Amino acid sequence: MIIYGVALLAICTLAGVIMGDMLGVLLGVKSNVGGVGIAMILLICARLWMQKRGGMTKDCEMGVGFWGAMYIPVVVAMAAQQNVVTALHGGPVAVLAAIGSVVVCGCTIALISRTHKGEPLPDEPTEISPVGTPVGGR
Amino acid sequence: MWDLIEKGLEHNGLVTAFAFVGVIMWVSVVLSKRLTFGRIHGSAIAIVIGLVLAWVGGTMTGGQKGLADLTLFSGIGLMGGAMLRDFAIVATAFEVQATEAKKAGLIGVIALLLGTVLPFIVGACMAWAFG
Repeated sequence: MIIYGVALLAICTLAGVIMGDMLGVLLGVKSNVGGVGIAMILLICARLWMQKRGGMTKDCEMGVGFWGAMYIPVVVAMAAQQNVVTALHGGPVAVLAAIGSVVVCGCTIALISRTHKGEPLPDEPTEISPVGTPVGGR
Repeated sequence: MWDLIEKGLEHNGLVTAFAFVGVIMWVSVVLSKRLTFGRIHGSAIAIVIGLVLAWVGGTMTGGQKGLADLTLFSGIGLMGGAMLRDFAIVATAFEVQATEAKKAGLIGVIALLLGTVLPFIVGACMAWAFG
């Protein structure tokens, strides 16, 4: 049942967010502290536990895998609703910071792939995605 | 006629957003293949297109939420909102395979760390330089 996977993901996310909020209250910060991280750890643990007990079916994995694959489109939607006009009005700082980080990361990628001959293909998206987000973050 | 279509799209905001983002992704994957021969990942181009569209939407409406200010694309606001974002991010952890991560090895860890730290340093330097 695909809904089992979606439900597992939903429960982990909710538990993580609630625990993050609690941590925030305990630390006296008025925000969520590491909620998403806690949720991720919970999900990985739940998966390992279920695999050990043999409760993890293909369908169940598909329910979570679908949302994992939806991450990039969600980020695109996130980018499409950023307040870009104000960010650009704020002067060249944001643009310069973005271009600077792209250049630095590009150089680092080149450096790493020169020094390390191997199969570094899967690294690509992790290097590129943080570059795109700082623009929106500002 | 157009009124009818617009009404239909507005009433199904989230579905419209799925279709719209799907089209953006498709265009950017084609662009990535044709223009950059796969050097720049399609998703990166899609994010840039999203930002440009946010600028267009922002200048058109004068609002703060980019494209989501247009009622036609209000579904984008829901799709890119905090709820679905967190949900999708958590789901990505599921695809992490301990064995795959080990294959990437130390250099993978360093790349990941640098990918997070370097943009932060550059941003901090810019902020410091401009006061």
